[in-house]
Amino acid sequence: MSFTVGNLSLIPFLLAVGIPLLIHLFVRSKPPQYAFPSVEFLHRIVRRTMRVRKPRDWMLLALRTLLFLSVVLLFLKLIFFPKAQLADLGKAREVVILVDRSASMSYVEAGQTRFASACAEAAEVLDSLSGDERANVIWVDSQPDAVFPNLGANRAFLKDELIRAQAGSEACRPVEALRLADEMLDSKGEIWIVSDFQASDWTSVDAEISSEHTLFTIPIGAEEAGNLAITDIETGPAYPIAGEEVELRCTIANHSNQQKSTTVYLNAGIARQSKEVLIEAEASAAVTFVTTFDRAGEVPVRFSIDEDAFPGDNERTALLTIQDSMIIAVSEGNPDSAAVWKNVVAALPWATLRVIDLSPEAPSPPEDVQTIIMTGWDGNLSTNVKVFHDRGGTLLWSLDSQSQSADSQWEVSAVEKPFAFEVADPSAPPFKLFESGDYGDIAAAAIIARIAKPTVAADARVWLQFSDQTPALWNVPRTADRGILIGWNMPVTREYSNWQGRVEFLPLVGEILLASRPMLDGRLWEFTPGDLVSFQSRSLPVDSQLKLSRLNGDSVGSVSAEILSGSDTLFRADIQLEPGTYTWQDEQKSSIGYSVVNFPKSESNLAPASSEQLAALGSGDVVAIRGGNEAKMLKDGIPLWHWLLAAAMMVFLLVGLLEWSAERVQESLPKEGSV
Amino acid sequence: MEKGRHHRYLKPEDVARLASFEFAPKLIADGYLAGKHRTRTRGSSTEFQEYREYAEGDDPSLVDWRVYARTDRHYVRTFVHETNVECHIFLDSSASMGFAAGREQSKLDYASFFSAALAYLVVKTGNRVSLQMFDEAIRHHFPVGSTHQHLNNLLNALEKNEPGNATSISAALKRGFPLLKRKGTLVIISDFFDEPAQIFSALAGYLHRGFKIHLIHVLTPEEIELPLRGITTFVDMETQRKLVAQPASIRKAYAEAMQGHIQVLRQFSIRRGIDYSLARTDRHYFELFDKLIK
Repeated sequence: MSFTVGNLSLIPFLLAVGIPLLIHLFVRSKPPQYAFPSVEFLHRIVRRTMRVRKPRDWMLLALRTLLFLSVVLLFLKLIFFPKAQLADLGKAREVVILVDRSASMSYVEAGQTRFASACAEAAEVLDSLSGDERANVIWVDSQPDAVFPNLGANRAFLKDELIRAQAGSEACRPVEALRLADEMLDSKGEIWIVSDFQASDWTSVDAEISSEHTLFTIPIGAEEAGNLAITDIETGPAYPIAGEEVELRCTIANHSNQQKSTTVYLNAGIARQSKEVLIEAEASAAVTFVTTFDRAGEVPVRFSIDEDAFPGDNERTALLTIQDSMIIAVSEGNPDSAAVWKNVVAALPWATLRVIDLSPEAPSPPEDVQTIIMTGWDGNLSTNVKVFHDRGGTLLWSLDSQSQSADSQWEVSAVEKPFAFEVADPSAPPFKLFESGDYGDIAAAAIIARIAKPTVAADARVWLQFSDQTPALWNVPRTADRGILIGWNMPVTREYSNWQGRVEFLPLVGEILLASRPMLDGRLWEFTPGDLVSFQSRSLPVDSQLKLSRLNGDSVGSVSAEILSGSDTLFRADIQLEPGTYTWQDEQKSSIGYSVVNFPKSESNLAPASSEQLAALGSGDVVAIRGGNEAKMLKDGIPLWHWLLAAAMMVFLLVGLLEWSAERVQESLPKEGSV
Repeated sequence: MEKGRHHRYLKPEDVARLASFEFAPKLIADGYLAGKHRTRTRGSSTEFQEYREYAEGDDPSLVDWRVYARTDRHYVRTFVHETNVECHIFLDSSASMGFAAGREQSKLDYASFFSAALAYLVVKTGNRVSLQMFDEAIRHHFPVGSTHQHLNNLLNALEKNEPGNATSISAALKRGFPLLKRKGTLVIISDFFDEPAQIFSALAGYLHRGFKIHLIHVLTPEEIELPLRGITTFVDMETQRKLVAQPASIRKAYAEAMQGHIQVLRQFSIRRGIDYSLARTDRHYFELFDKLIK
């Protein structure tokens, strides 16, 4: 907040403000002396009226000083800058306007999108520039870009760009945009940010802006913009087998301060289902549908809700791969054990056996492998297996003599005296089948060898344990950054156990494998707006003529291909795509795969960042502005002459009123008494 | 009066005008400006009447020892008992009486003119007059006398008189009380800037002794109306106390207060049988005599 004056030459007249004070001081301090016979009467009267006159005198002095001040400032042409004064006088302004083009700016308010409002505000900022002052516009989305490579004086072009621009569906990356702006500006530049300032995007932004620059924030949109959004999709299992029941679950978030209801629609292949859901304020709810898919293949699973003011996040798609069978790979670290496990997998009607090499130099496990049974493994994951596990793949670790280490010794008991073991967790999912007893007793096997002190993760759940509490079978649950690990501390070879001859063995292994299938979230096929949609293939040559189309068959542009390391070929769309489901087609127009572009989750919650959070955007001054029209006001200031004139008249009136009232009070004072 | 010499406060033209008051019977009847009013009764006057033979019970001090030496008989001298009253002038000579409000004559001058004229009238009519000049105490006391020399002395004293210190009328009256041997007329000329209650308390003794009292309240128009303009530092002429005030804003209240003070003095006077006269210095002091005659 600052002031300046239009008539600088009249500034000395500001001293006139002191006139009433000087008059007051000098007249009061050295009035002419008058010898009077007795001041007793005067004293009594003055004392009697002092309580009224004293405050009135001071008020009069203040009012008269105000009157002088108002009149002097009136002639000085006082100009008020309520927030900050732009640039130094006589210096051309340099302005970079950051216009938020992220998905949240598509929110419709008062008949237009926030983005349209933002462009209008940005145009107002441009209008505040004059002469050869330079400016630029930076679009803030997932990959911020500027209209001009550098600041330019062609503001008309920038305004045209603002008119032509459309809101995107990308996420917002303010840090990159601010850094870009900072690089464009010399000293004492202005960075104007026009955005809805979503808290999810603009909180804790550390852009390291030069402290010489001034940041101006123009918020767009109402404080409270209620929005329902589909934020997540989970499928269980991630790779279901044809004919198997599949749980399709979506999460609906209610980003508003009131309870809301909506209908959730599922469209997955031929399955069409819907459910009503009631979601509490500022909460989320999961809606689960159960269905089956008859045929193997990729099925886009699309969830949607009733349309609201912000339709972008009202639908979300996941790609579900229905498999003919579950792909289970067995490593042959211990050939004897591997042979047993291969027999078991081969005996499972819904499983397809693969044999893989887990040595460090071996290639990555195939993408369709869901579970790897590791034999003869010493506990150290190779990079490829770790990637598989981190991606969510399940590992079944069959411990044997090769798994021993300094702390975990291989222990063999006498044949006549096998290690007794028991069910430690009866509620474990694989044991549900055995509750009736029809499938035998899972703790009846005779085992004479084990790893005495196996390495078990702290968060593991022990399902079977030996009588001395040594874990026999345990499960390390899935986390956000790794899949399930099953520990099997029971030898399967005939030499050390009778498992392979037990009726419980096959169903137990089958239940364990089914219960431990990965919940992969399909990151390989999911993209967000701004990404270049790609498709990776091992079988297609680089010169394959792939096309990328919408599900309705409309082509969405050209596709480039490149060879990745190894034999993989990466096909990539040449343009960024809007949210939706896209299909990759070969030259025969057969669909060979899907890619899904989903609405960025961070854009769904429209709650704005607080003013304190915005104030911390830059290291320099951050000025909150209500609208772009204030830019002109910040530049030219607000002329205060009419206010000053009104103030002078008001003060004049008050002076008269005060004197008049003082007279009335004087008259109403009690008179000197008489005898 | 000395021949050929003009007194400041009693000019020949004033003397000529005062001649018209000489035969004011009402004044004499009232005992004011007491003209000669002798009785044939013997008294303790200074004027010899006759000799008579001493009789038992006569005061031995009245025996004329010269006659006894010549005649060897005891005779006593008798004197005319005079009923003429004494006029005692109490002239306020405090600092406040020096207020002139820009005129040539101060209130003290005005009061001195009146005192001189009064003294002249008293002496001219054969009565006796005394003069007490006071401020917070009796500064000068001139005992009663009726001779021209006495009058000259009084006039000279008036001329030499200057405004003194602070006023305390009540204190001056109390101190002057034992100085007055005989009852008579008491004329107090002052601006009466004192508490009325104290003034009249001090006058109680005089009233009890049978004094006829006249208060001449000398004020300038400025003291009554406060016609000043602009903010002013008022300096008390007696206490040197200063007060800054805006006359315009307090004029009305001041005038009311001053009228209230005058009213209080007037009402106290009426209740105690005292004559009160307001003497505005913008009026000629002769008007006071007109009032008194009426």
